[in-house]
Amino acid sequence: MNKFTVTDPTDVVTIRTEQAKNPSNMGVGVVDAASGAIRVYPYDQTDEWVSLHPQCMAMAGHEAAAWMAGFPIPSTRGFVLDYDSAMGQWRVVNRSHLNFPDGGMRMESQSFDRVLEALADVGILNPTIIP
Amino acid sequence: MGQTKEIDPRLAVNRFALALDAMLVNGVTMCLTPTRAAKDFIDMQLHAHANAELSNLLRSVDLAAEENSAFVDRLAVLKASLQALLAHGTMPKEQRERRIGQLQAAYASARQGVQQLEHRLGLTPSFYEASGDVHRDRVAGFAARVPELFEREQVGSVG
Repeated sequence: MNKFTVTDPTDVVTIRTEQAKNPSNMGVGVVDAASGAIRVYPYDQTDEWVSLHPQCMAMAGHEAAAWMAGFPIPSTRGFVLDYDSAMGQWRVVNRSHLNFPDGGMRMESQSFDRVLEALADVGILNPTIIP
Repeated sequence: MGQTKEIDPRLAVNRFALALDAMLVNGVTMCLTPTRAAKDFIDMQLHAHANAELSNLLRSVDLAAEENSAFVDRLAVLKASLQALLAHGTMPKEQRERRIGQLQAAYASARQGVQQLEHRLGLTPSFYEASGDVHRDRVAGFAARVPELFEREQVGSVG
């Protein structure tokens, strides 16, 4: 079972900075279950990407994030990373339509556990977890 | 009426259709994602962006006033339904089902409006029928599964 890794730890800093400015600009997290690579983008970056690449016909959110990261859609799973700057609290939510291959909006719990471990490796400790 | 402006109509229609799809999929995802910013996300990220893409569409093609107002109305219903469904866990089942029905109907109506516009502009294949594009099937499937997705949350099942 491969270990998951946030391939660019500055992703987390970016989410914290962006959500301090705009709390609704949540983190869109994607993991390529095949390689174990994780990327997280502010939602508005995925919106901008779609506007610049309409020929790709990808939606903003997890789908665009997968494209931005270069992850194949079939092996990509998604989660939401939300930072409450007032409380200094992270929230990790296991919900995405890219998780449908696992049966619904949630990725398999083993995969989500590995996402949480990878996020801990880049400093997201004791987040509120919505499994 | 027709392709009279400087922005490529195919790309402008694609962008609006994608914003519409994003409103449905990401809106429902937010309803199932309990966060403090969910209401603002639906308003400021999803609805505002879809309206911006509708404005972009207006710069690309001539929409009849009734076509434009129909899109504006459908986007408003989508937003209102999604924001109401943020409270899906505490609302009576009948009310939840009615809101979900409004959401599905508004999405279907807006999607039909996009298809009618494509037909009038002679844009083929339709955004929704682009060959080899698994994404389109996934959104259609998502729309059909919305009641089930909310129902799963009520019983707290995994999946």
